[in-house]
Amino acid sequence: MTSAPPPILKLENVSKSFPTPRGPAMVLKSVSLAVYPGEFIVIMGPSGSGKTTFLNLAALLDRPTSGTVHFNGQDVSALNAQEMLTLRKYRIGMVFQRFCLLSHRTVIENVLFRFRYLDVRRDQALKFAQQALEEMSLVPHAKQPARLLSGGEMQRVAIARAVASPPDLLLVDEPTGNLDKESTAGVMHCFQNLNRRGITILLATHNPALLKYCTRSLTCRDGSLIDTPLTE
Amino acid sequence: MRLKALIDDIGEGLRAQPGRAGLSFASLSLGMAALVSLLAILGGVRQKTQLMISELGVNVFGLIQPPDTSRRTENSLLSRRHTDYLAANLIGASVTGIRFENGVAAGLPDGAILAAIDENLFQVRPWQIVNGRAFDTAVLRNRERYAIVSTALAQVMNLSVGSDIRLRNLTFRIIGTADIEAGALDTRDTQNAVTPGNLILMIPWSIPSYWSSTVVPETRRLDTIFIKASAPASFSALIHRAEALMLQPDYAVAGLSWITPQSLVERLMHYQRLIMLAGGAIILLCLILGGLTVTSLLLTGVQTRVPEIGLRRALGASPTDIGLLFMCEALLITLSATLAGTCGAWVLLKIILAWSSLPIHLGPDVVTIPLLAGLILGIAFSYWPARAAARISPSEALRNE
Repeated sequence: MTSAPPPILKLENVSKSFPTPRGPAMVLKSVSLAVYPGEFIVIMGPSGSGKTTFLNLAALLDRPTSGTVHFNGQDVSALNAQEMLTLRKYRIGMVFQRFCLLSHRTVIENVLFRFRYLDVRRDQALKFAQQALEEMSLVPHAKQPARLLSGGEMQRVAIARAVASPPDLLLVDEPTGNLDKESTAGVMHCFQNLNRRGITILLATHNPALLKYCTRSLTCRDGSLIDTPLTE
Repeated sequence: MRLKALIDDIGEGLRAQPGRAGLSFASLSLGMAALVSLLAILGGVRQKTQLMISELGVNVFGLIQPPDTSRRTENSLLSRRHTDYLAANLIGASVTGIRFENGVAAGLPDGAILAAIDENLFQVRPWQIVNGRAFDTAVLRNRERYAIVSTALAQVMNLSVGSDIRLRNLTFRIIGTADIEAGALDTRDTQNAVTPGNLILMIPWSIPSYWSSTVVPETRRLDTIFIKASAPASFSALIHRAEALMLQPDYAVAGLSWITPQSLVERLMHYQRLIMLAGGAIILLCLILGGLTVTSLLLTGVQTRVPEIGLRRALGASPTDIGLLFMCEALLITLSATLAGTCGAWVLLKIILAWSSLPIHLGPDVVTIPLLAGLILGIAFSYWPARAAARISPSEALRNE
């Protein structure tokens, strides 16, 4: 008998509130979730429902107001800022809606930027970056400044940057919000390929069309996270 | 890789606002060039002070009577009786007196000076006999027709130890050549009586006069008396004692000016203070304005680069990394402006030095002090923006993305 692998990310009764002039605003209310290796989870929900706040907690960019977050079995609340930072930079990849590329730099330089704060030798970083570009079919654009790319290409550069140093968990926030239908499909296929390669993905979106690419879906509404069954 | 990445990162920030970065660079360069010029001038004045003191001699002070003595009575003129009087009353001090005459009348070349000296001169003044010997008591007593020539005059007149020189109708034998430092003390205040140039021929004061006579026998009249303390500790006491002696009714002298190392330093310190205050205020203003443009550049950078800060934090940058990034940008501007300003001013001052005799000294402090100032400016004026950037919460920064 084999036991199920431990979850990469586990949140237990996590709440998050932000101070406002009218008192604290509760954005996440007692959320519990376990993300297992190899999953491709899509979190659906309208703007302001708490998706990004949830992703920030998962990315260890923020601490919950209450509840516990475990990453790879480690209680994150017990870690200091430096330990959280180390965990984040080596284990977590992030992709953003507006790509967050350094527009003056070339495509390869943008992908190499993933290693800016990692202890990786330059030649090794270059090898990983080229592999990531190949995977995203961006090799012909490697020396092009990032600002000259199309939206879909920019998002693929952002994905290449996130996975150039393979993460345990890839967090993706509205990746297709700025893309047309064709680019959306291209970008989502990239995520699907990465998931098949074993990368666990947590993707937040308000676009229901992306559900067909995932293995599990959740809905974020009024600060709560509800499991939603996938329909064919 | 770290260094290259840091350089790329700094370039990123500066490329975003080339106009502002250029303005900061230009204003700081100007400020630094002005600072270098000020330091070079102050260094020059300081060097001039040291030269003046060394030219006067260590623990030496002088009493000078300006040359307009024609209407004075015998008793009110500086003369040999004063050297005898001071030597007798200032125990442990060496006293010497000199009279200068225009050498042209005696047959010396234009600009040369004929000096009547005693046996103590080379013990008191920092002039060095380089060849031959100085006068001794016997030379003075026997009224030997000997002469000592400065090396500069010896070169001009092709003289050496053993040569003869004819002054009016008398022949003098050169028994020594002496090195005489001159130039630093040639000021209107000292009436050129401390070191009247370096073309000097010295003869014993006791040779019978053969030039025009005034109320005081020419052999006894003096232009300057120099006194040297035997020990530095007794120097100021010696000056006060000499002042008191020269106030005695029988020895009081009209229009006497006292040249002490203190008076020389004070005179130059006055100019130094003026230059420092006026120049320093302008330079400080320039540097503060330059520094403020750097702060403004960085603050705008922090505002416009919030998403980039968020990305860096997401990729593993610590708040210190973010703060240092902005501080390094500021340091790049201030240090490169320092370098440009220093090089520009250095070249300009070298050209000025080649064409004029302004007191300019290009020492190592002319480079190190601006570099230090650039470093301090860079850190001080980037501290606030760097702190603001480091304090941006990564989740907030990415929300702005």
